[in-house]
Amino acid sequence: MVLQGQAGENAVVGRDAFDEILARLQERGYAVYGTVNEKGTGIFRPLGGAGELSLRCTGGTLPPKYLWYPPSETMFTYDRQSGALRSEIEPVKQAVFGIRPCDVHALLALDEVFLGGDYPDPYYRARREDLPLVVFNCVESGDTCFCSSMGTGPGLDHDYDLLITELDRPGRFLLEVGSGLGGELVRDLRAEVARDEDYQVKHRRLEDAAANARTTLETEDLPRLMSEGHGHPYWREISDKCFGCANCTSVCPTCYCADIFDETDFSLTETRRKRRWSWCFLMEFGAVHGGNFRERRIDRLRQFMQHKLNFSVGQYGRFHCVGCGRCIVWCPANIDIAQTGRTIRGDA
Amino acid sequence: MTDRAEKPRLAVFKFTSCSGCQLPFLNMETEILDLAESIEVAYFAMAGASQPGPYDLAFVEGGISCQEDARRIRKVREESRILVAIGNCAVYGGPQALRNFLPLEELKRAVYPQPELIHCFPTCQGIADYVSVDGFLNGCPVDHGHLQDYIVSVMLGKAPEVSTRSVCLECKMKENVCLIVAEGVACMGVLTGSGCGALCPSFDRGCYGCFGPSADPNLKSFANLCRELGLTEEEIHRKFRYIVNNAEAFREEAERHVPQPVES
Amino acid sequence: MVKSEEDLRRGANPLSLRPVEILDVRRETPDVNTYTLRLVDGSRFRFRPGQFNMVSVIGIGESALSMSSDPEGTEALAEGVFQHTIRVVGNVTRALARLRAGDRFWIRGPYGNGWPLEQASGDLLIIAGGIGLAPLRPAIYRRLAGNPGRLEILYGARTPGDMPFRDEFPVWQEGGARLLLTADKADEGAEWPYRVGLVTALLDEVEVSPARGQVFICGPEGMMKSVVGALSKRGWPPEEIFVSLERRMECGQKTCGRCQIADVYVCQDGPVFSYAAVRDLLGVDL
Ligand SMILES: Cc1cc2nc3c(=O)[nH]c(=O)nc-3n(C[C@H](O)[C@H](O)[C@H](O)COP(=O)(O)OP(=O)(O)OC[C@H]3O[C@@H](n4cnc5c(N)ncnc54)[C@H](O)[C@@H]3O)c2cc1C
Ligand code: SF4
Ligand code: SF4
Ligand code: SF4
Ligand code: SF4
Repeated sequence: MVLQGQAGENAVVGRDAFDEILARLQERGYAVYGTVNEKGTGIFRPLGGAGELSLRCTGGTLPPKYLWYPPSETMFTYDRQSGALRSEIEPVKQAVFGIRPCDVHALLALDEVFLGGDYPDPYYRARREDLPLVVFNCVESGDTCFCSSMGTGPGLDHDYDLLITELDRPGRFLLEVGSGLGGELVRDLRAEVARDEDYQVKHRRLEDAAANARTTLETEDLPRLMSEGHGHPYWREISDKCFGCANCTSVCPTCYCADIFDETDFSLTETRRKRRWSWCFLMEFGAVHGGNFRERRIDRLRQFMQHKLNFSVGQYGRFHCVGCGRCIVWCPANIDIAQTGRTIRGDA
Repeated sequence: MTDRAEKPRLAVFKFTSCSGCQLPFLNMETEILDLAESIEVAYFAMAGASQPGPYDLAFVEGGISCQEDARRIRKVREESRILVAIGNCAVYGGPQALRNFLPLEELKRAVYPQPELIHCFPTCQGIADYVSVDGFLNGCPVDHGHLQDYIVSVMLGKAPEVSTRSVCLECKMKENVCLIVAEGVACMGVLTGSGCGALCPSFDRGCYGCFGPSADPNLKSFANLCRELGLTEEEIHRKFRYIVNNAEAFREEAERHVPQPVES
Repeated sequence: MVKSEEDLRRGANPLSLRPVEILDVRRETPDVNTYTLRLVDGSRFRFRPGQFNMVSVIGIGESALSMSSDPEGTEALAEGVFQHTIRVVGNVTRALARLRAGDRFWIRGPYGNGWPLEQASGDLLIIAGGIGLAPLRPAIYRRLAGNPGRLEILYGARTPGDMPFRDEFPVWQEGGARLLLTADKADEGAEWPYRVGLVTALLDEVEVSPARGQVFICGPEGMMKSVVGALSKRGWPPEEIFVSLERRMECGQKTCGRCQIADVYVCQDGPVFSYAAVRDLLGVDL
């Protein structure tokens, strides 16, 4: 068959289709990022060819969040001589090839944070509005993944331009088109017709991935139980180990906190107002004149985990933990948010 | 600031140190031209400036290790409106403060052919042990960005702010794979203030703690981690008795891991 | 969330700044100044009592500062002016203190919900500590302008000399407000006919009854906690007590995350909260 290029279409393709999709994204002016195997893990890099893509989910170090919410950005510049402010918000064209369902859910969570109010954040919007997503469903769970507990994976059925699921023979993929743009990326591509069996394989593989998850967390009633467990002795136990290094929050795909500060050059001609990532683990985070609202490490650690497993539900109606497992992997003290949730709720 | 007389007068002084913390000033090649527009470099021996005080902003490199140092730092203090300690030596005493933990006379005999010519204090200390200090910029050497922020802040009339980030955050932003997690290396990044750009971890070397203890270092947990990774008490002791050995938190942690005395 | 009435176009950059010109700087106390301001573009700056701006001195930084003037006063209506009353504590406030009439700085706002004046239709008890009187002053003027209910103001500061707006106190009293003052300690040698001690000590003299009134409180968090505790003992229901909270803020927009207390954002869900809404949050370490 030949794909018509419409939303809702599906087909079975081989890996060569990835090259075509990538090429078409690049032709349309997108900088395309995907996970590449590097340093023993998957790291989001600008892709040259689709061959570089790693198909195994490794979580990686930094999530692709920095593409739509950079670690540091200039909001405006101020000419100190003329007193003029200049704020140039340029739309950015980027695409992610092989983003995972948990990270898509994290993106949707950030959309609510930055675009959900009456005044959408223009800097975020400039990076978000034109952001094609080619999603890989996860047919295997990583050691620390608990997306199936958080309802954010291993499969996705919304908010993708293209959705790709590896079938049981290597090199065969079920391709589903989720948008007009997704359609354009595959129009006229030669492909096999997707049969019922292919869908059965997809569903079986996703169910297996969920069933084989080695990390789990029951979320029923979790926010209430976390509130009640605010004084649980386990907080003391883990905060005695915690370094307060903020590695966990720095790799979290939903952390959005920031500093806004001014940077001026030596000649004092120009000031740049910047926004950069900040985290509740930093001493400076809650510091005000004459005090600090979270001076103790235990309070900072609790803010992180309570925000993810409790407060975010009150704020946005969804958990800001998408179960990606990165904070667990990269915590040098072996502190585990899922384990904490289980302990507080009494399931451990 | 067009009137030359109104330019703030900058000074850079050296005490007991390796001079490494003065290099960032020299490396500011392009910026220094901008800087010269708005600031007067009044005293900086390495750059050939040696005008007398008073100074508006003085950066001091080096620790205080002898009577002459002590006399001179008091004079510098008197002549300087804002006095800033830069680098491990001026802030904590530096690598040479290692001698603070050993008997001076033995050391002199071991190092110098004519030990009687050496006149120094038994310890080398940061300058704050001798004079009041307005600001501290850690590092071994100090970070060029921190220096620049400091100077610009003073010119703008604001109190400089130094972030409480850990080395780990710089390491993560470089997308390094964590050495503790992946290699079982007892990297001190988790305890150490940022500024170096995670230089050592980026080359697969555990952090040596050059920027000194972070805002709230969990030393006990780090010692436990070291033990889990197979380090002996002596090795843990040495981790804290190394480059930044005389910062209170590191000094005291070293004392908690006393190496077994060797029978002689 | 509260919207500024003028600038509601979806898509306007909420983080962009507007210049204001200083018309007057008035020294209230040794470390507090009141700035009379007007937007440089000449338009009237609209806000509600209890709302705040993010104020910038570019190069130095930004601070959350409440408006301290009557938003519907004659000068506001005729000339579009408004005021901030600012205590000098650190970088931004010190830089502001260096500015003079004719100088400019930048603002964005207004942010936050403000005092629930429409809800406070009966009697009103206002309790302020220190610079906390500044965010309450717009509410005081709105009440004096319209509501027939009783208005009592309890105000405490470190010393009498640390009280801003002192010369307006008689005006408030003439307007019908009952004013109870206290200072932690009286200035040496100065005449001080009022109390010496904490603001909680004034609560016994309050005439407004919990049965038909509301309380608005602003001051240091420790003071607010003890006042709220004392009011609760006197039978004030938590739904009728309103506090204005202070947290570190970078954006005012619910995106920098700094002002979170559990699931509320002080910048937009507040800064004014009913005690009923935040009682559990302030009790524990968060
Ligand atoms: C909603 C709200 C309304 C306020 N209204 C007033 C007012 O009307 N008048 C007044 O004098 N003060 C007010 N404050 C306090 C004022 O924001 C701080 O005093 C001011 O930010 C100090 O800034 P700084 O740069 O001078 O101090 P620094 O200590 O140099 O500030 C460092 C950083 O911490 C922040 N910060 C420091 N103290 C506070 C604080 N107490 N609250 C929030 N952020 C802080 C600053 O914004 C800055 O980002 C208000 C605070 C809030 C949250
Ligand atoms: S990564 Fe681990 S040790 Fe570091 S702050 Fe997070 S929980 Fe604590
Ligand atoms: S809290 Fe941890 S597991 Fe959850 S989304 Fe963030 S990094 Fe992933
Ligand atoms: S409060 Fe902490 S955990 Fe929550 S988004 Fe901010 S940095 Fe992340
Ligand atoms: S390698 Fe060292 S500096 Fe880097 S994250 Fe790990 S502990 Fe921190």
